[in-house]
Amino acid sequence: MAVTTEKRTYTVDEFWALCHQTDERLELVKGALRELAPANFEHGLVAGKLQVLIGQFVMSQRLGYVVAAETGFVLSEQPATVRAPDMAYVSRERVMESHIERFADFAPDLVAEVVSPSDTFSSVAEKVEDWLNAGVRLVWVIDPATKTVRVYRTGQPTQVLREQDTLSGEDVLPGFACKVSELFAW
Amino acid sequence: MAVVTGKRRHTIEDLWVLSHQTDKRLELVRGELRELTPTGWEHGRVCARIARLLDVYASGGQRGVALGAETGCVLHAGDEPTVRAADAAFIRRERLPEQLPVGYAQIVPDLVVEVTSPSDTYAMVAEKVNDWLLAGAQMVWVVDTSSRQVSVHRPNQSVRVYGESDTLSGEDVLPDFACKVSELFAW
Repeated sequence: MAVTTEKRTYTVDEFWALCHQTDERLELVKGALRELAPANFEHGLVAGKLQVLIGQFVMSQRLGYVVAAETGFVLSEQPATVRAPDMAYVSRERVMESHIERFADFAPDLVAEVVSPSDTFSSVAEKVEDWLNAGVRLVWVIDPATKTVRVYRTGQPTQVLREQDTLSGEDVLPGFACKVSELFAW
Repeated sequence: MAVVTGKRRHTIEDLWVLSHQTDKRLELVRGELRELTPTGWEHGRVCARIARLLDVYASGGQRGVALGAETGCVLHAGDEPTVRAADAAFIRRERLPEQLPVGYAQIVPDLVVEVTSPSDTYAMVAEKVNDWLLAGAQMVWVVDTSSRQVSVHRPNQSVRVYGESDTLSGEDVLPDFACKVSELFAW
């Protein structure tokens, strides 16, 4: 869950400097700091599972890269927004000519967010909005509590997938498919 | 917050009869009864403010009708009967029937407002938004009393989130309606 920590606003550069002075996990949303609390175990299991499934597919097809949770992406400079997805896939083309030693200055192609019980609806909606506005082509919101996945794309109605449904990579990861139930099984 | 009350499947008629036999506030979601517990103070205050803004906008029926909390609307008849109650809603004049219905409205409001409580989970709210949009609502506002944000959901559009300093517009659903988001939460 994100907790708003203080009122002053930061630029991306100031935020970068701050991240080197603190052990806290932070996001920057419209200039304001948000603290990211450690996730519960189920959240970690689902995010881990997804990372393995997507990672295997992306590597075998040599499509690009999968990044783990906490990787910062600059979604907007003004107002400054740096978000960290639970998992993201970035195609080869988007990574090229970028400074990978800092926050990524490009948007991922695919982002997955795993919902924690403490997440409010509007905090999740805001993340989805930020990712899509920044150019993410496909956003999956995975809710372990209801074993559902919500699929968001710009200008398209939200799709709700349940356990028996298939999660598809669509045109973002052509050929990728897995049962939704697989994400929640161990 | 909704509490699942029983697994037996119910019809819309069952709900109507039940609602006259009990003091409980119930919704019917795909044949399943859900109990609505009384909300907190902040929720009630914000609902009242929104209902007032919508009622003023309605201008005595010239633009349409504002509905207050707990008004039952039939979202889906048939094999997955669903009757939901929005926290506030607006139906445009041209969509109103000659006579207002006695039972649950068979008309899905043009605008639906859901005010979230801190105990509402992501999935509960997402399911409601989805149900309203699929049933034909043109716009859903989710008003979050804790973060003081409003997310705007429309069919075939990406979600937009507005903060206190932003202006909430009625867009083409409630033309000329505009208010500061902060106004919804101001004392």
